[in-house]
This record gives sequence, C-alpha cells and structure tokens, in this order.
Amino acid sequence: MKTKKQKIIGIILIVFLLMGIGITLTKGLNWSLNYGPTDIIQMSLENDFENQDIKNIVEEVIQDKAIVQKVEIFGTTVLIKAKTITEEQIDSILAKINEKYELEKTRDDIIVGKISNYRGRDIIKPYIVPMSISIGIIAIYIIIRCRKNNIIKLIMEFIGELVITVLIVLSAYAIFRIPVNSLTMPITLIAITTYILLSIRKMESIPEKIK
Amino acid sequence: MKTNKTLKKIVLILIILVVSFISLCGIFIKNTNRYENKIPEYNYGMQFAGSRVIDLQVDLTEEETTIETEENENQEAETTNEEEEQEPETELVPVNSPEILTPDNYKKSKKILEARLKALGVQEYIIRQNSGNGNITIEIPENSQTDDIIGVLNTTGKFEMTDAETGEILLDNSHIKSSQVLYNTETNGTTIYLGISFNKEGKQKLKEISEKYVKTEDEEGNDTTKNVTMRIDEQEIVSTYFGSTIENGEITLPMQEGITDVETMQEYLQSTGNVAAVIDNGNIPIVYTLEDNRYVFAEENNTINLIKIIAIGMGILGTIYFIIAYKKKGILASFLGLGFVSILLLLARYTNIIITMEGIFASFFISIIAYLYLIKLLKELKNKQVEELKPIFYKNLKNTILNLLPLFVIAIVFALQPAALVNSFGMVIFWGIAIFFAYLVWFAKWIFVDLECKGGIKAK
Repeated sequence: MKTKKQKIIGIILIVFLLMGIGITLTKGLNWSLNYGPTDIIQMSLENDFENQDIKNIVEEVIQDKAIVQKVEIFGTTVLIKAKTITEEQIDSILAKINEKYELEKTRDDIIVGKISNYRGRDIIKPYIVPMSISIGIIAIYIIIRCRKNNIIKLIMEFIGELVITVLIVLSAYAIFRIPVNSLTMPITLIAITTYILLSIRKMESIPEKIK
Repeated sequence: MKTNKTLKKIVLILIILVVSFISLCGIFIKNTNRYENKIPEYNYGMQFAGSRVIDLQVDLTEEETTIETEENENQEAETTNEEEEQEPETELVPVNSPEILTPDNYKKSKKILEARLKALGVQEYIIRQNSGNGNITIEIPENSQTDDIIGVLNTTGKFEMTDAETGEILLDNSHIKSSQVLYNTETNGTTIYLGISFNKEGKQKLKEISEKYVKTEDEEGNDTTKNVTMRIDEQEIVSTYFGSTIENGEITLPMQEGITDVETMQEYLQSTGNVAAVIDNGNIPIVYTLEDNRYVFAEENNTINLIKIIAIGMGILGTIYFIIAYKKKGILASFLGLGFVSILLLLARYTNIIITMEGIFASFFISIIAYLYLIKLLKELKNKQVEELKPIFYKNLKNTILNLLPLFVIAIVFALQPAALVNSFGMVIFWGIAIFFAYLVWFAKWIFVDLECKGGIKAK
C-alpha cells in the first residue's frame, strides 16, 4: 500500500515529467552557444589581445552572450561566436574593435560565417552502447543476486526507474532552461550511476527480508 | 608500544603529504637553463586543450570538360598526324551536379567522414553538418597526426582499377568489401602492402580480370602484356599485370619495398593505414573543398578554476566533518582521503587518461565514494572492543565490494570504448576503484584495525 506521502511525490513527479516533455516538444531544449547554431566572425587583430575585452565589445553590441576564442598558434586572430549577429552589428563590432586596437579593418578583412548545431543524437550516441552493455550486465547480476524474488518485477522496476531518472534530468534542463553544454552528459552519467548504486544497495536487503 | 604506534601514524601522514605535494605541484629538476617538471602533464581533451577546426564546403564551382561529340573525337584522332593542334570543344560542368546535391548524399558524406575518423583511431571529434547546404565542420584534437587526418578527410576516396591502355573501369569502390595494412619482412627489408578484399561481385570480376590481364608475347616475341592500373582519387598507386588467377577475391598491393628502419616503416604503415581508412569506408558522393583549417584555442572560462575551488571546498568540509565526528581518527581519515585523491591524480597523468569533463566528474564521484566508505567504517568501528574490530571491518569490506560491483562493470565497459568522453569516465572510475582497494582499504585496515589491535586497547 502506498502512503499519502508517496502518492503526493508520485503526482509531483508525473507533473514534472509531463511539463519537461511538453516544453521539450514545444520549445525544445536551451542549447548553449557551443552546441547550438551560431554566427561567427573571424578577424586578425595583428597583436595579442584579451578575450574579455572583445567579449565586452561584442556583448555590448549584440546585447546577448558571446564566445570569444583565440585562433591559430600566435593567438592574434579572434573568433567570435554568438546566436545571431546582424549586418549592422557586424559593422558596429568592427568599428569598436578598430577603435580599441587602432586598426583599419574593413569588411573585406574579416570572415563572416555560420556554424551548424551539434545534434543531440550525435552527443548521446557514444554513450548508448556502453551504457546498454553495462545495464545488461548489471541486470544479470541482479537476477543472480535476487533469484529467490520476483525477478521480472525487480528488473522492470530497475529499468523503469532508470528511465525516469534520465527523464528527470532532462525535464529539469527543459523546465529551468538550463543550457545544454559539456556538463550535461557528465551530470546525466553521474545521475544514472548513482541511481544504479543506490538501487543495487536497496536490492541487497531484499533477500534478507524474505528469509 | 603507544609511541611506536604514533610514530607509524606520523610516518604515514608524512608519506601522504609528500605524495600529495608531488601530485599537486610536481617534481621540478633543473635541466640546462630551466626547471622541468618530471611528472607527466595531464593529457587534456579538446575542451581544455583547443582543437583543429576544418570547414568542408560543398564544391559549387564548375570545371571545364571536353564535350564528347563526333567532331571532337575525329579531331582527336586527326591531331596525332597533324602538326597544329586545334583546341577541342569544351563546356563548363558543375563539379557536383545538382542531382547529387541531395539530403541523402549530405548525410552519407557525413557518415563516411565519421567512419574514416573512427578507422583512423581519432578518439575525440565533433561533426556538425548544415542540413540545408551539406557543409560540414569538423573538430579534432591538435597533435602530430592532425594534418595527416585532415588529408584523409579531404579526399573523396575513389578507388578504381582500370585497363591501363583504354582507361575502362574494371573495378571500383562498389566492389570493395574491406581493406587492411599488411607487411612482410625479408632479408632486403620490409615491404608494406595494402590488402583489398572484394565482395561477391568484385570477387567474380577480379577472377576474370586476373585471367585476362597477364603477361603475354606475340609470335615475334614482342611484349603484348595487358596491364591494369589502380588509382585512388585519380592518383596512380600501381600499374601491373596478374601472374596467376585470383580466386579468393583478395589482392595485395605493394605500397613500399625495402624498408630497413623502424621510423620509415611506421611512416608507411601510417600512410597505408590512411589509404585503407579511405577506401574501406566508400567514396564520398559529394566533392568537398577544404574552406578553412584553423587551430582554435580552448574557450577561456573559469571552469578549471571553479573545479579546483569546488574540490578544495569539498576537501575542507570533509576534513572538518571527520575531525568533529571522529577527532584523532578523523584527522587520519582526512589524510587517507587526501592520499586517495592525490594518487588518483598522479595515475591520471601516468596512464595518459584524456581529461574530459566526464573524467573530472568521475574523479569527484569516486572520491566521494571513498570518503563515504571512510565515514561508514569509522561509524561502525566507533566505541567497539578490539576483538570486534576485525569482524566489523571484513563485514564492511564485503558489503562495499558487493555495492561497488556495478560501478566496476560500468568502469570496465566504458574504459574499453575508444571515444574519449566515454573512455575518460571509465578509466578514472577504474583506476579509482583500483586505488580504493589497493590503498584506501589496505591503509584503513592498518590504521583503524591492525594498530588498534596491537595496542590491545578499546577503540575510541
């Protein structure tokens, strides 16, 4: 019998997951600049520069977040990435950089382009096979350890809760608009691994209860 | 007896402090005019070390080709006897005809490039494709192989076996099953071969070709041998004839003969491996041009500093908890925990683990498990009689092993994967578990059980 507290938690969880799925399907996830599609500007400043200075200029012009990276071994070329950079904004950025670094660069001296997004399925692809193999082996381990119990129920619960764990992480990303970036997969991996360790620990006590 | 026990604990603490200092600061030894760290550097992944970014754009240019008209053909035949050559009629043809610029071919091109990267053993890469125009951006790590890899990516991978005289295509990529690098060492040196296996249709065709293209002479003894030419991306690899009928559908092409030194052999093994990687994965249906090839520094952000601050913060909090909860034993446990983290970091350097965000998270995870183990052990041993210590320790160890088994499975499976992000996670967990049992459990037993038992006093 489920307690009242468990029922409330269950309802909150279902609402949370439905909200997460709904937002993902309608608005999509909030992709970080490194993973989403971006406009880029590349230009040589001929001298060393501070990334933060360029970043300040760009963010002031576009009123949005930007990534600034040095390009090539001498580090005198700058690569600017932002969600969108309009033609007027490019001119404005160019003028401000020229002013700051006393340059006379024109539109002909810079490279303007686009970088496509890094697809979600490409991000998760490397993890699918090892995670499936690991879960398969752990499921066999559960079968051996808890063979005196209702194995099918235990395995179904184990896999079901595992899927819910992943969905909770993704829903949190969707609902709270957390940017999907290089931390997303490590966080998901740790969530999965923690769940596996805790559920195995929980199962360890089951045979003793039956005895 | 008590002095001896205290001395042993102090020695252990000093050893841990030395190891921690080496792990965190390194060993600097003067070499000519500067100091060099004798501890290997961390092998950072693309996110922390920067990457080479190449832009491959669908070639939309046009090239001049001769129009195959009757007039042109006649002209070609006549020019052999005429002194003045007339320019044949030409037309501009797109390098990529509009019919092949389809989403399916864009996807196929990306898939082939990915397969080549895998075949070349690239552990970390990011491929982005503009689904609208097919342009591709690839990010790969910067190292001594990078330029060779870019060379391989930028080739179409078109394999052809043609009649040396007429240019008729006898076999192409559609007939290839697989290819590999082979070598054979004899007295005059090593020969490196490119082995190509053909599929069912190719096998049959190769049999017919090997029967036809053989060494022959006419009645007057003139050489009438029919040769085949093998080309990869229009570049001639070999022009030869067949000595016998090939029935197994396999050929071995000598790529370089008489190699006598290891360095040259490695070089040719690498270049032949690149050729194999190209033809093994089929030819890219669309011609791409290398539009940009640049080294991009890692994004300057405070991630690494933030990670260090979090790690130090967690260490301090853990130490405070240990000291408040377990007094002297808590101090010892804190040093054991510090030693665990230090050894893990040292091993990450020596085992050349690629440091990715996944690896960093794994190191935090396994360190937290180590601290939780110490907390649980101290809690169970608290206020117990000396004769109870060993049974409690072994019961705790048995439970720990059983609880960590799934983590060990994940570590092994992930560590065996070539992809750096996955491998890094697995390797860190694997070495973490190894240090856990080889160092942490062993020393925890020595300090909290063996030394207490020798003292014959009630544990506090």
